[in-house]
Amino acid sequence: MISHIDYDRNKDMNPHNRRIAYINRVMYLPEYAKEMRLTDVFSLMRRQYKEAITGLSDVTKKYTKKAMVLHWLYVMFTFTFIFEGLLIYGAFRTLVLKSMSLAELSVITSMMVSTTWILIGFTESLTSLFKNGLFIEYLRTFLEYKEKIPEDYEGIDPGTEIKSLEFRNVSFSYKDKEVLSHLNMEFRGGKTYALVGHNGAGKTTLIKLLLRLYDPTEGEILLNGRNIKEYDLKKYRALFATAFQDNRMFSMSVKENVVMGKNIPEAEKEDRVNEALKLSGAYDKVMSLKNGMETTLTNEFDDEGAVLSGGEAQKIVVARAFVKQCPFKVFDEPSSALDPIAEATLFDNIYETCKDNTLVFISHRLSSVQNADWVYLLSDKTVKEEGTHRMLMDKHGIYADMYTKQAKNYLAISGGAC
Amino acid sequence: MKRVLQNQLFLWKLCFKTCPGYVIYFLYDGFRYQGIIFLEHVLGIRYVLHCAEFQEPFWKAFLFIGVILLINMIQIVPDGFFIHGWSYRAKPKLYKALKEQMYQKAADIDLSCYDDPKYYNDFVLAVAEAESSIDRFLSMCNLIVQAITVIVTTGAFYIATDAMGIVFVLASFILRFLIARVINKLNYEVRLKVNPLERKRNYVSRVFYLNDYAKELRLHPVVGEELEKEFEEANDAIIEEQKAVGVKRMWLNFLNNYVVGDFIMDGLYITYLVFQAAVLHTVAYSDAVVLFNRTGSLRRGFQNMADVFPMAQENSLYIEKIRAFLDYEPKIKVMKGEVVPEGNADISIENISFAYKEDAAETLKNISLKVKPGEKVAIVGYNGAGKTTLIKLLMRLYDPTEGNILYHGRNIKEFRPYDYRRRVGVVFQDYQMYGANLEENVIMADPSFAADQLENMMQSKESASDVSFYEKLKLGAVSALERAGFGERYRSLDKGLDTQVTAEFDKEGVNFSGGESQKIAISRAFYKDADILIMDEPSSALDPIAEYELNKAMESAAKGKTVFYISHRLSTTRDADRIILLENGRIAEEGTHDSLLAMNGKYAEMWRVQAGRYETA
Repeated sequence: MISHIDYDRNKDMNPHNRRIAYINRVMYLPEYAKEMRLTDVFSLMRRQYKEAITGLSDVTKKYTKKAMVLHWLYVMFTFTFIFEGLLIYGAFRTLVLKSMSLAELSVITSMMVSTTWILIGFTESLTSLFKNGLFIEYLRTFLEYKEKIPEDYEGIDPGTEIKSLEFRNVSFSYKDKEVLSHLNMEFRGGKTYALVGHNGAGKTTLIKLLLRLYDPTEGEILLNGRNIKEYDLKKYRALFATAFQDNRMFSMSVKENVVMGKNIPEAEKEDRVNEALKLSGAYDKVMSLKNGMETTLTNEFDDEGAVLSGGEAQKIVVARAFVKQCPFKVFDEPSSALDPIAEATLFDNIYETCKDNTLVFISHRLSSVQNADWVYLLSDKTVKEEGTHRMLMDKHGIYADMYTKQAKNYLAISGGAC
Repeated sequence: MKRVLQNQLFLWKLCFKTCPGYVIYFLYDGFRYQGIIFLEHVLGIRYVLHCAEFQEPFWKAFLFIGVILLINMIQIVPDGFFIHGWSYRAKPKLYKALKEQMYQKAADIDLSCYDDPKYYNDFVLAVAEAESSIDRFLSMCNLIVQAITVIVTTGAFYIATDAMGIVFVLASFILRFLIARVINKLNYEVRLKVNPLERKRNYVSRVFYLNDYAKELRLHPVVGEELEKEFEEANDAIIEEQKAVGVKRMWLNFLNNYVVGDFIMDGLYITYLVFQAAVLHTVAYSDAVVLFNRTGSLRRGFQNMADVFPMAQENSLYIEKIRAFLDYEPKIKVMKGEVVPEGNADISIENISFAYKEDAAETLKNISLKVKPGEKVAIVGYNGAGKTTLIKLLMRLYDPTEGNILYHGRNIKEFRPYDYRRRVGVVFQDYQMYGANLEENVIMADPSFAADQLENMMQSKESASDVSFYEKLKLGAVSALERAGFGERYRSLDKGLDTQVTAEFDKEGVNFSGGESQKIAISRAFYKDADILIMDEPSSALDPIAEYELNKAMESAAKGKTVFYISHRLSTTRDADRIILLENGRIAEEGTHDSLLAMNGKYAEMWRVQAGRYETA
């Protein structure tokens, strides 16, 4: 019963403890250091910390009385009454009934002493067992979680060719908020597609659905005419190479960070990685590192590890998409942190290398979008406009407006647009 | 030795100042615990055995036990309160007393500390160990009191009954102590080897359970497998290390437990006791029994006293780090300096150079620039040219290794950094969203703290207003969000300014998209309304319309302000009053857009490459 109180109390304290752990992270992680110094966000952290501490204290008030009573009963009945009781019993039998000798009494008392220690240990183990049992609930819930998208579901082999990938009437909601609604879109093999639209329009979500990181709430996604749910998940995902916007470097060598475990024979690895690095524009930087492409990234547990800047990390992410040999390549904002020359080179490389692939990219840089075979403009949870650059400009719709606004400053009295 | 004591004293003062009652009780608890045991196991049993040996009447035994029972029933009550009430309230307060100091320090230390891996590791360790140091310290104090209680009570009993027992116990104890030292050294060496392996294990754990890596692990399942392999390897390596010392440890422990422990006590001492009681009749049987039973406790008492010093030593190592951290004198003293004069003024950068580390290559070399108030300066260049470094120096997050920056005609080193930094509005490339509500994420402060500041400022200006200060904060935040182009999104939020940002603590919390977060970050600078505005790639994640609107907003918001902005979108830099192009830490080109194009240098090339791709509509 006391364990239950402990467990409940812990559960109630948990949100406060998580808050404290968060504040701890904010205070020591370097990501927050700059803003900490330039603003008063520290006052915010300090207040939240105080509130969490008070919160912890308030939680206990709820349980104190009950726990105290239980504690008293526990100690009394497990130790005190038994110990004192036995002493009196022994004394009675020896002194009154005279049915126990001094020797026997001595043995009993000695035993009682050692038994007390054993009992204490035993009850502590029992309590731990119980406490653990309640926490093991969490573990079991986690381990027994049935994935909605089973990672090792055996499905059909999708093959190696993508003739078409179609979104049919796809809707998707994330936590009750609808992100995509009755969306229709098709990607034909070998062609280049651009996705544009306002921030938060659902472009990245679309990619996640494409990769089957989520399943649509309505409608279906078809690969070569078949619902992608029918395919073997691992083999399906192997058809895609993606460069996402957020760039996570792993604590491994640059080479491994680019290859990301793909089954590339050792002999070819270095060449292919070099190639990919050159295409993404990261080659020079990587070669300038102490151990070249064998240098560990992040200084998580290698103090000599290289910490890359945003732009450099972005290039590594793009290199990942280059190194993989597969029919479908997706680039999500690959150049947002790059300087103009690097950006132009990157897009040239993307177009050139992915000539034979099905290429999809999301970009706000409409100058690179205009060369796509087909452009989809996402707005209001669905495809608002689609067509070639020319078609969309002639429509004088949202796309044309975006393009004009972006091009404006480049073209106005442009002495250099040669 | 002295240092160890000083460190303990440091924690003592801290704990006692925060929760004196609790600390006193904690000590009392050690006395209480051993005291009760002494009462029951020694006095209680001895009395009953005595009665039996010397034919005393039963009622005497009954009464004696009865009194002990009563004492017990009473003393358990506060014990329950201590464990289930007081501790849960007092411990967080104690942690807070230490951690708050550390947090304040973390906010004050130089940014350069984060660049130095050695300092940073120590810093992280200190923070991680702060709470456990306090726990260990309190346990240690409790243990000392327990040990003293045992030694005094039991010692007195032995001396009163048969002092020879103490000699036996001491002998056993001293021998065990010496052997334990060898074992401890062994364990310490193993721990040093195991530590980096455990770091690796923890890293892999984190990758698997943190949100951040979820996508990558699913899209590149082989990485997950390789990480699992690394985990196993680290695990195996840890096992190997332990195995290597396993046999030696086993024998040492055997020596410790059996030869020195059991043999001396269970073999030699009991023989002595029986001899004393049965042959020489100098000790009563009841006393002999109790003396023998008590040897373990007495030895443990000595043991605990002896353990105290290594415990204190080990804890002292951590406390050293904590104190070193707290004693760190920042090079840039945040609160020292003069007030920054009102209004905008010239900013003069004179021959500054900068290197992150003493022996590292210079990131900036000999930069000079003079900027008039209200001027818009664009900083362009290839990645890694030193652009971000330059603005960090302007914000005074670092001081230049050579040269000076002047504002209002004075070296910015003369001004109070706290004030100076608040005169600069910044939008970072790597801004963060905080686990707080939208208002707090814009004003970047605790509302009551900010309201107080506002009140102080208003008082000094003697302007009265009907609107409360909290209201002012809210209005300011909303206005800033509007100007940053977040207005429509803001209106779509049911909870408005009270919306929780990030879903870390609130399931209803909102994880804003990349572009939305960037607008919030921009609104921070607008809210601050400082005379100097620094923007590092403010529109990199924005769609064309949002970028266009931001530029328009900047035109009005930045009137009269000096603006520095780094951008790769040359369409935004085009209208700057001045553009400087950095290459390898130097200003390679400088001028207006037109003059740079005419120069036909690197800027012109960048422009052509970027603008050339836009066809005329």
